[in-house]
Amino acid sequence: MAPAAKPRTLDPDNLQPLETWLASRLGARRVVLGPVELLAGGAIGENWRLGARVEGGTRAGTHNWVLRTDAPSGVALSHQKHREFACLEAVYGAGVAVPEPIASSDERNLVGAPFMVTAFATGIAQGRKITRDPEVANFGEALTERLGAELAKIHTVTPPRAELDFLGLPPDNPALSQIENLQRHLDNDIAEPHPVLEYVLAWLKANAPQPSSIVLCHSDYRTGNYMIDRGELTAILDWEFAHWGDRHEDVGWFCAKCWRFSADGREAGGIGSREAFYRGYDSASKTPIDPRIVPYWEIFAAARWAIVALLQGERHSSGKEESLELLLTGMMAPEMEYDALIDIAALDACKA
Amino acid sequence: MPENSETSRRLLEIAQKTYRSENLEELSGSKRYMAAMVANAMDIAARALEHEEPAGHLAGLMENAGADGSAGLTELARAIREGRISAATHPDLHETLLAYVRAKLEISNPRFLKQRRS
Repeated sequence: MAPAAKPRTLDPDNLQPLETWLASRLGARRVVLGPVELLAGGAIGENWRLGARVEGGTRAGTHNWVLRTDAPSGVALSHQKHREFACLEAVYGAGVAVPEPIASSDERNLVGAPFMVTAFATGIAQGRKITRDPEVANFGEALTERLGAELAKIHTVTPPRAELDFLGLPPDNPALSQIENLQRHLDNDIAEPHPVLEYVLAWLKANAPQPSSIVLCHSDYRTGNYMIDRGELTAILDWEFAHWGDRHEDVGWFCAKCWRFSADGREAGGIGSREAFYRGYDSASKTPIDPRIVPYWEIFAAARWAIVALLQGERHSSGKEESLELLLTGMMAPEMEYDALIDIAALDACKA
Repeated sequence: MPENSETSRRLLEIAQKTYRSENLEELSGSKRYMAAMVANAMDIAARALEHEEPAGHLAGLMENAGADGSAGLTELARAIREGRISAATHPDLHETLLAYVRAKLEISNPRFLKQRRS
């Protein structure tokens, strides 16, 4: 993740509009913000830490909050903040370990971009830091099992849900519908042709599993998107890609090679065993993971991450947002193409 | 190697050496992160000058897809999407695409390739 750079949204010297808006939204007499600090990370939007003193209303007291904004140029697959906020509220209600949702707005004139405010969670999220921590040998299995159980809780949110109407109708076949989405991105949003990804998507289309029950998928559930403090889970973050889908999509994404941060021996997110992750999930879910379907979704994960990386690169190449980091992210796509091709050969060999 | 490419190669080589000796060791935090990205970008550019064009691996497939040159990749991608070129019509498709990806990785991230092969 990039370190904190020049702020592009909130102006720390002009907090009054946000304070007034928050007071009104929270039914408080007054909200006083400060100190505010731009946090490192946030490849897409900005994250600000907000100290807050609330006078009156149900939230009276002092608080540590985080304000997260949309990007100057958005990623096509991601939701705007107020939609992400609705997903966060739904999973918070389902008992998932997420920062408490406080408020959100899609207005641009308050902080310069749509935003949401949540409770501040302690700890670290950087994938490489977590997977390289020597202590992961001690806490990794328990953390992996816990993350399996949390994923099962996320998947208890099922359609229809009026407050999540913006997610659209649940797809008849989640795999095929996702593949079509990715093909659309290749057609409309990525300038260069990608024959390897076309081949991988054609394979995924031909080998799509039978649709199972539809659940709310986090869709970016992986190491790097949760926070831990001394080895304990404190919060699951980044709900901007949530959508209705197949539970195995999240399982495959978590276990895919591309999200192990070089700790390939620990197949679940580079932190623990696949068995621990499945065990945690199955302990908290009425519907167990079908391990036969997961390898398919790991190939899907490689294809999808390759295309998301290309979309990031395109933000630079199209001139929308000049950034070496974005360009280099786009250049990671062959790594996922390689993993997908190797895994396809392995699965085809099993079938033959 | 054409004269311009040779000049680019020499420029990059000395820029890489100078940049690394002057910068990376002394930096910390965000500046080190940025410097590492710049060094990585220069390394990729230098390898791109040294290596053959990866799409060379796809010449036969592009010809079968009905185009070559700059339109070749586009036509090949389309032919694969439409099923005109598949593992059924071209049994060596998978291996050819893998050779192409390996060639791309030799430029963008040879360390990744080494790790995956070990």
